[in-house]
Amino acid sequence: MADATIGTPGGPPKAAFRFDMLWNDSRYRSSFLQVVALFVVLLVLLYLANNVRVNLAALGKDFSFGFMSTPASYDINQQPIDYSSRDSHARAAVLGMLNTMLVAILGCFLATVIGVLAGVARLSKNWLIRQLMTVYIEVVRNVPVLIQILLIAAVINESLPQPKDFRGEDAVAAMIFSDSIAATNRGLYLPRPVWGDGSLWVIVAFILSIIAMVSFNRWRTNYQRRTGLEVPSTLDAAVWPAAVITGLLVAYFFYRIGTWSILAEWGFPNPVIGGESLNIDLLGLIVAGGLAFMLGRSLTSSAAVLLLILTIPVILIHFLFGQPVSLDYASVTERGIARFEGGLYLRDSYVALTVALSIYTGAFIAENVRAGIQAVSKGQTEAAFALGLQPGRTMSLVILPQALRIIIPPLISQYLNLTKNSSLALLVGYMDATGTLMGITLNQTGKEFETLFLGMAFYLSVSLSIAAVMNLYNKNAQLVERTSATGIGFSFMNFFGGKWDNLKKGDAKMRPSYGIRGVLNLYVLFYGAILVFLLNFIFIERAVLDVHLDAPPALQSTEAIQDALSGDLPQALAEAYLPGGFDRLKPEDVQKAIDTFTARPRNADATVADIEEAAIKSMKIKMSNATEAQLGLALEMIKGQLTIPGATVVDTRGAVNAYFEATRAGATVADIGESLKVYLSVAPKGEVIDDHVKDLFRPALLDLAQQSEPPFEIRPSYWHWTTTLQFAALGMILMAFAALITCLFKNASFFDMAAIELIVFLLAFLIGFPFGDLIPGVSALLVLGVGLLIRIGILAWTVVGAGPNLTFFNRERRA
Amino acid sequence: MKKTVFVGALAAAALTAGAASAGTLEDVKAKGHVQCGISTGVAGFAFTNADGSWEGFDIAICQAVAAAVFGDASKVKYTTTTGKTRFTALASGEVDLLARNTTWTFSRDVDLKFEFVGVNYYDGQGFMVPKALGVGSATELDGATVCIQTGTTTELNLADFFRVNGISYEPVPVETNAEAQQKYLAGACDVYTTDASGLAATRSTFEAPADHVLLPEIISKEPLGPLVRHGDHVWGDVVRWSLNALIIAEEKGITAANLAEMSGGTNDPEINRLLGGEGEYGAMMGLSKDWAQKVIAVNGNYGEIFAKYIGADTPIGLARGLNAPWTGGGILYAPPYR
Repeated sequence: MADATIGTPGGPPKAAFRFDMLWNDSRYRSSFLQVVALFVVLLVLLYLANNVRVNLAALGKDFSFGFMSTPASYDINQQPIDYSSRDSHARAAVLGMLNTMLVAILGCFLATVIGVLAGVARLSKNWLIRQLMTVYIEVVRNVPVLIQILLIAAVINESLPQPKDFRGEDAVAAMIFSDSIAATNRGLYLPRPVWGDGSLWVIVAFILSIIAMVSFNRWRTNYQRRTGLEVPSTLDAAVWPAAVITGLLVAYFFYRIGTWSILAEWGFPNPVIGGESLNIDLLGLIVAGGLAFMLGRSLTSSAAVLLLILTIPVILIHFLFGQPVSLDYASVTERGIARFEGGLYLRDSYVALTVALSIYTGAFIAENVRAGIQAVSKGQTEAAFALGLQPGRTMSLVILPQALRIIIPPLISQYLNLTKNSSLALLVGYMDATGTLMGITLNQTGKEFETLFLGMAFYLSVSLSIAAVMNLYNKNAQLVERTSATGIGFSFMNFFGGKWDNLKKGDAKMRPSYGIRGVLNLYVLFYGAILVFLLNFIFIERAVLDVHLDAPPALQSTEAIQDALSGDLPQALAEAYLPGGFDRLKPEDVQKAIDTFTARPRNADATVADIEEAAIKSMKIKMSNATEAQLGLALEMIKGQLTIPGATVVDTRGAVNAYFEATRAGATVADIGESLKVYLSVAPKGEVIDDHVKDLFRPALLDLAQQSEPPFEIRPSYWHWTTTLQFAALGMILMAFAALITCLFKNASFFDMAAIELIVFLLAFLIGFPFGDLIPGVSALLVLGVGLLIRIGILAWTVVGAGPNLTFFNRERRA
Repeated sequence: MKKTVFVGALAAAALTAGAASAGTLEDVKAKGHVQCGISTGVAGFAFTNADGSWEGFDIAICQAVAAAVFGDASKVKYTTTTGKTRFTALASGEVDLLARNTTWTFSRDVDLKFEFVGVNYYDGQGFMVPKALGVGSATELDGATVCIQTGTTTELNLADFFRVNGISYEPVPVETNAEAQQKYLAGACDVYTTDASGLAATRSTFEAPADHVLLPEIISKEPLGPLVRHGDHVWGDVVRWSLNALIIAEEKGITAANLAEMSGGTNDPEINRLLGGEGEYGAMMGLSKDWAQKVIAVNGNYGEIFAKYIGADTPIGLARGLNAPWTGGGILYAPPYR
């Protein structure tokens, strides 16, 4: 001990470590406590995991997700993607999740609109509006949302007319807006846009217009900063054409929906001038168009420019390409059970759920908005007024930007609430994730733990994604509190020339970049596309051949098969068996099949002897391919079955199967055809033979599928992949998502996310991820090569290029 | 924080997984009542009477089991379950048995780990439509909107039936019979489909039952019966033989009226065995000697229960049909009591 206290030149003496120092010495205490806490947490987790295992074992259940690829067997009414009851539970679950997203997205949007309007209106100077909004908020907020959903559903179901009321001469209900919208107790039917040939160009023109509008806006802001003027006065010339366009558009709109005729139907008298009855439609057009023109005249010049940019190219392209975009209107069926066909169908359950959730959440958002506005000091308003700003501009330029900082955080939790509340859907018969995966699938398979686990994971990831996006937006809206550059910790950027600093909005070195040259917009598109392709490949594309072979809808009866044999067999076969249809099968394979299947009338009087003879005859044809042993065995089996007097179809089937088993080794489509012919020639008329045909076709088609690479392949569903591949796919999705979000918000970590994404991409390639299937019809090499090039290009451009400006987190190399 | 949320959720899920226990009969005796899972209400099968207590064709099974165990039909408590919640309630041990129009299927028997102890009603899935729809057969239902109770076999039968017949339809899933009824009457769906007995029961509660017709198609076999958890055979036997006692009683002509007389001893040894006059059959199951007497004393034999709640003289007006004893042209057939 004595030597120790003498001390070394390096520093104070070191006392020997004693155990009580773990809790007495502040140097060790905190670490020690953390380790202990970690142990406790781990023990609890272990206990829980073990508890689950033991209890599942006690119930005799295993933990596996295999059931996800078995046929779901139930129908779902709202189908954002194709689905039939023979599809897998996984697909049903995806469908439910998409339905949840449909409610969540529209609901969040509507709730925001309602909430902002109600929140601002609640602060209105108008007593009536203010009190009305108070009543709305207090009533809606304090009634359980479940009751509101049921109420709205009941109102729709009970008070709106049934489809049958719309039918016939003496219909008691009529579609509104000149037969374009039907409000029934089954939901709303709206016109649906039909995208004809060439509509792609209209969409492209529309997207370009939007980009041009954004660019124009950025340019305008920049211009105003430089000159103090909003826009150059030369742009004032845009007001006139914009007004004309507005007038024409409004007139056209009223012409299309024929509102004025409805007025006449409702009993408004036709105006009569000088004994002449005027055409009310024409008059209406002129009045509406004129009013719109007058309104258009009062547009500011920048608004006029924006309007022109938005409308002119789209309208021009639309007419130039022969009006490719048209509308499909719903109409009630004239025969059979009355229902609406065509159009865009918004189910009563969807409408009730979305509207109720929007109104409910809107009330909360309104309070957030009110709180946010009131939190901005009154002095701000007064100061703005003192500067001569009008109330509207004071609100939009001074108050709201500051209020937004207070509004956004609680808004996030309102969005989350709405999304989670959408799980009440099944109460009104809406099939969301809770209804399909955690409802019917759970009930039919009894896999409580697995389905609830997946369901929780889904809601958790949706909620966390919403929270992540909104948090980034929040970061963007918050005040910039420090303007000095700060060094950042580890970043892949460090590999490219030393330390990097973060620049923040307001920093002197900061160079905000406006306009489309912000290459990040392209990055967003790129990572968005990756995400879409990956998700589509893994969950949405119908790749599970196994499931589909169980369900040949087109070949379910002997009649159907006869039709197929005499008609277009390749088409029928393809539709029945192949996901993606005929296109994925090589024509020559199918031709081979059709050559073999010659239509032949069945013989209802066939005897057992006939069957035997036919079987043996067809076997002889095959003798060249089958071994003696196989043929002998098959004959034995057939004879064994058929020596029973009065053999039935089942026997026949056995015979054919036996025959087929025998020749299976070298079986070709032709063999199957022979088998089928034998069978068909003796099967009693009207017998349903789908199972038999399935048995016969299945191996042949699998065989075919394996021969005809690459356009057609069998792919197991995600649940049957190896764990490594599953993780690779998840990793790629996660990183593409991360990169997408970070470049969407121009976050500093974009470079890191993109770099990790690249690494995951390469890893996935190394462990053999099937890139070739990612984009139909594009080879793996191309996907890999181009993907790699673009990714590396993005990273390189971020480091060396001057173009992409990671704006508010821009990085500056430390000198 | 986010991890904490996840762990918490996991923990909650793990705890609710619960533990299944063997020895339900001991548990039941210890707690002093039978916990019976029933439906949320189907006229005739399970309904609350004027006193507010449960009664009905399915309830009679619960009462019979209570009578067998305790000799007292009132020692039973009810837990209402929906088509969706019933299996979880049984699997988790929340209820001791389910007596609510539940179809006996392979996957429920084997995969869901339940044991169907018998069939108390042979049913089939049917369709009910308003007369005004002008439909005479289920194959004319192309494009119909169909209300269907979710989480039931009817949902699967329906999908198969329409697929096989190449008919399109729009399913409207609902949770309970009452909801389905409300939607159907409001015209939010053209068709209501469930077990034919359920349709008849539901129709009987309508203001104008004559305005609705049941379509001739019966598209499935729906053997409805009580069920218990897999693996507890003692308890399974108690429930099975409580049901069988009712069926045998009808076959042998034991009624609530002549029960006292019969238990005094008859010429038929099977009756004597059943009513406890002969042998120690009750003790073999861990019940009293005269357990079957108590069971029959509650509501009478199977036929009497049928007639009382859902028979031809009730508003529901179901014919015996398949549910007549095998001696009377039906397929109701209990194994011999020996």
